[in-house]
Amino acid sequence: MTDDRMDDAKLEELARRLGAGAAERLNVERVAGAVVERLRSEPKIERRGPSPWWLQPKWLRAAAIVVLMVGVGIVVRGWLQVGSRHQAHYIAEDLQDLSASQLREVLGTLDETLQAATAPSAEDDLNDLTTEQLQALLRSLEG
Amino acid sequence: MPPAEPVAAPADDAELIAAWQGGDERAAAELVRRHARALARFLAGAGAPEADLDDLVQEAFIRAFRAIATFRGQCQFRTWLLTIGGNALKDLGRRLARRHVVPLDEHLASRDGDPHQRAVARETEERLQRGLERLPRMQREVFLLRAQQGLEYVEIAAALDTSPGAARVHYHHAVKRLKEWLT
Repeated sequence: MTDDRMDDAKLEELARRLGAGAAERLNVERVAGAVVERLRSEPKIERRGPSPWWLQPKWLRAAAIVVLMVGVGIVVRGWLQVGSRHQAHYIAEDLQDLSASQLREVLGTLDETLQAATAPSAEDDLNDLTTEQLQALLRSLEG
Repeated sequence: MPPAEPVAAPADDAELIAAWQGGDERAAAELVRRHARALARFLAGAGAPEADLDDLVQEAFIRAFRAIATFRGQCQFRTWLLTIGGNALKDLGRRLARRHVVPLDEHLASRDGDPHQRAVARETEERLQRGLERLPRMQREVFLLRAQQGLEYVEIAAALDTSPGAARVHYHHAVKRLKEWLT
């Protein structure tokens, strides 16, 4: 164990000395000048500090999720609208198969339906009846 | 270009970084002066040829200053810089499709003792250098950051984006293999 520790210590001592001479020979002032010169020639934008909050990864991820959800919503809504358009399309195709007389009949039916929808309600008619007429009506309903 | 003048008052790295971000070139120059030799030692230990050392040190500082906005103080500036230097060295290695045996620094060997002792010391250092080059990059960098730069595992782990436990394991693997190669 003692030998191992000695070996580790020797290894670390060797490691500490690695590159020491080369580092000493490095002309630090020249390197500093060259680095500053290169930085000076680069766009100023690269010197900026931390990105604005809205450019931080967590906010970008949140924005991406929102965009994704909106996109999915638009697609789903589009599909639903396409489905209803298909129904209208099928009806139109049915009508195209009808003859002129059949179309008139369909239109007549539609007229009746619309008139029935706009006809006075039964409640309104009952208000117009006299007492005798109402009694007669009730008797007839009782059979 | 005349060398930038040193910053008058001693400032810590964070203050110099902030000053640089504010456009103070002297702060950048001071950061270079403060950390260039440690970076050079690290790069030389990791296998950088001395002929390329100057360029590599410059390149590492340029990359660090370009990416300074991403430095969040998760570790010391110097440790972060050393890992950037490691990346620059790796890129150089790719470009040169190297690798020859790095000529060992003549100044490494002890000048004490007799010529035989100096020769033995030099040979040991050369073997260590070659052994380091054979190690996986992570083991090599953890070893150098720990043994050469004297950093704690927590600091090393933060710089290399790993856990202190994993850094410790890398270090012990490196030591084990280097000892096998050196004996």
